[in-house]
Amino acid sequence: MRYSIASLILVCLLCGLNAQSTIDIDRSADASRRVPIALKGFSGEVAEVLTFDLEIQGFVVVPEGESQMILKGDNQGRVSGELVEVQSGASILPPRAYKGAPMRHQAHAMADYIVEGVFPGQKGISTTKIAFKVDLGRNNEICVAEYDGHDPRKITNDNTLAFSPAWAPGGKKIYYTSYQLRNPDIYSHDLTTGERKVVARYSGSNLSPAVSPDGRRVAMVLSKGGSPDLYVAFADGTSLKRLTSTRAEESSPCWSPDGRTICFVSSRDGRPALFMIDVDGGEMRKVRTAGVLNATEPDWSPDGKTLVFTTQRGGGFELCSVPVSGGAVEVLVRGEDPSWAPNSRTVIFTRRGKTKRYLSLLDVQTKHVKDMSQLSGSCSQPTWAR
Amino acid sequence: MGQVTARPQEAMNMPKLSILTLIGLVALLVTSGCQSRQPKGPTPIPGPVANVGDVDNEFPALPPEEYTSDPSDFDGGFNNDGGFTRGNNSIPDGMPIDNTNTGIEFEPLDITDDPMALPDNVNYWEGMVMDAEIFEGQTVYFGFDMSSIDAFEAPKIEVVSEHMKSNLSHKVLIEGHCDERGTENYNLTLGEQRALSVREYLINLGVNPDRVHTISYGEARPADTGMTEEAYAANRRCTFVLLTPEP
Repeated sequence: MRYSIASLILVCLLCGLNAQSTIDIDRSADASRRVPIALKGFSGEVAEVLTFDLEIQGFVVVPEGESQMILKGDNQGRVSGELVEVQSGASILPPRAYKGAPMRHQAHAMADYIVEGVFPGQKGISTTKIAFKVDLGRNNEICVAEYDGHDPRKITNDNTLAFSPAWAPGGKKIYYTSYQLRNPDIYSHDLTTGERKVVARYSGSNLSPAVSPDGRRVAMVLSKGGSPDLYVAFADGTSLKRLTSTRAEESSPCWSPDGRTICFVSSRDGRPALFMIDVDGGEMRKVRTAGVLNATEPDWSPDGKTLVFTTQRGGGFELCSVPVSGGAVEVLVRGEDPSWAPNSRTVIFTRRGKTKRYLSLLDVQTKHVKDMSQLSGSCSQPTWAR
Repeated sequence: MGQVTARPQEAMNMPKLSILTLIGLVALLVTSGCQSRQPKGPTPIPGPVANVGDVDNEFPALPPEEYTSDPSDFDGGFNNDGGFTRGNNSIPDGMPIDNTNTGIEFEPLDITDDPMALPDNVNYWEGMVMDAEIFEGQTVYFGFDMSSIDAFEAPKIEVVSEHMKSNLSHKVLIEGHCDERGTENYNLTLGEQRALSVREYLINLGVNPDRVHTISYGEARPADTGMTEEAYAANRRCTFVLLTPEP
């Protein structure tokens, strides 16, 4: 990404000259309803970006006159706007104008400003990034893009199989499995320099890297011991420690936000199910997922509260959520392989279409889904930079 | 043992417990003199440059050094109860071998902690010629979401084991595959589990574990791209690739 949010220079126009009122959004009544907002004065790409960003983060963009609040502004040369209460005309948030970055990025920044102003405590995700795998013929490459699928770039050009990209915290380094040396091995890939290092190149398969939230360790599934088991090591792959030694297959580790627990999948009991284990080792503890028969590909929300995962039933795949302590499962939408956004509210996942796989976004709270089918190629295994 | 490199610019809200654990670990490592096996550090592999706009990025792939760090080195500062198995620690006495020349070569069996552990050598194909066709008729098929060997499939593995026991310089690579009716990560491990299952069967038939390798392709290399039950069944398989020494 050529321009970071830090390069945006915010200029506040008309600060303090307008009276501000607070909007009373009755969220206690039904947090699953999207909040209507109208846009006025925006055009082209800026209008598209604002609409996409707002609608995936809890709003629904409606025509003027159908909402309590309206974002009035323009994108003549720069994006500027003011969120206003329709009836009184009073300003809800101080107006803002942006400069110093492409218009698309200014629009993203404006969307974040509105989201964070209207939903205090909720982080905006409009300028975040994702990584995913794209199938190109017989092989795969790893790609990075904006969270909405814009500006996808391959970060590999190995013309071999590659799987399960996983970000290190900070968004500057990605881990993945690549078969470029004729074996599935785990690499770390520094996005600033392009430098790659072997993290795990043992006999058998080296799969499913997951970096701890503090960036110091990596969990992975290695079969060198005779069965795919969970291991953890320092982020460079040294000081390897085996955590499981079942005769069944383990897969898909993910970390608690405090870095002390790993949630993963094991088929120890016959069907794939979710388990927890302390990073220091010990017994694996099953996570109760009442209502589904199998569970794979979990991800732990950054706020620590919720696991999202895939279940397979009736020939199809569904995203589900369950509290981290286990319990009743909520089936969310059709899809698989979810990854949480930093806001612990949005999830990116994969859907299978007729001829290819594609990425989709889900707002868990409102169940609103946005498909990103404009990405060319069959895309899957998305992971959100956090 | 590995170096702990402090990277303050990446530390984010590190809980005290894990800091203390790491400090305790470093202290224990320094004082315990854990010197038996020094793992070699990872060899940097030059990667594509950051500006991935141009497609023609070439980079030489250097063969990495063999990775020798082993979990059994790790015995300081962590709770070893429960989740940390080393396999059999004591080997019972074997039978003495009658050394008269019977015309049969005995295969020396390597002693490892876990008889099913994979051989260390990840570059097993060096100096070998690969033949993916010779054992096409011995492809082993599996039930949905299963990695166990069906009784009807076992005779095919026996054919491979007979060849291996008659050709002690040969190696075999077992490739594990899945149909697409599973999630991708899960399918990679299921494919590996299938390959390991066939490997275990071969070893139990008397083939030296050091000559049997596995690789999983998950659902990435289907035999049949159709979406029928027959196509799916054709993809749930393990294939054998024979490796013979280069002439």
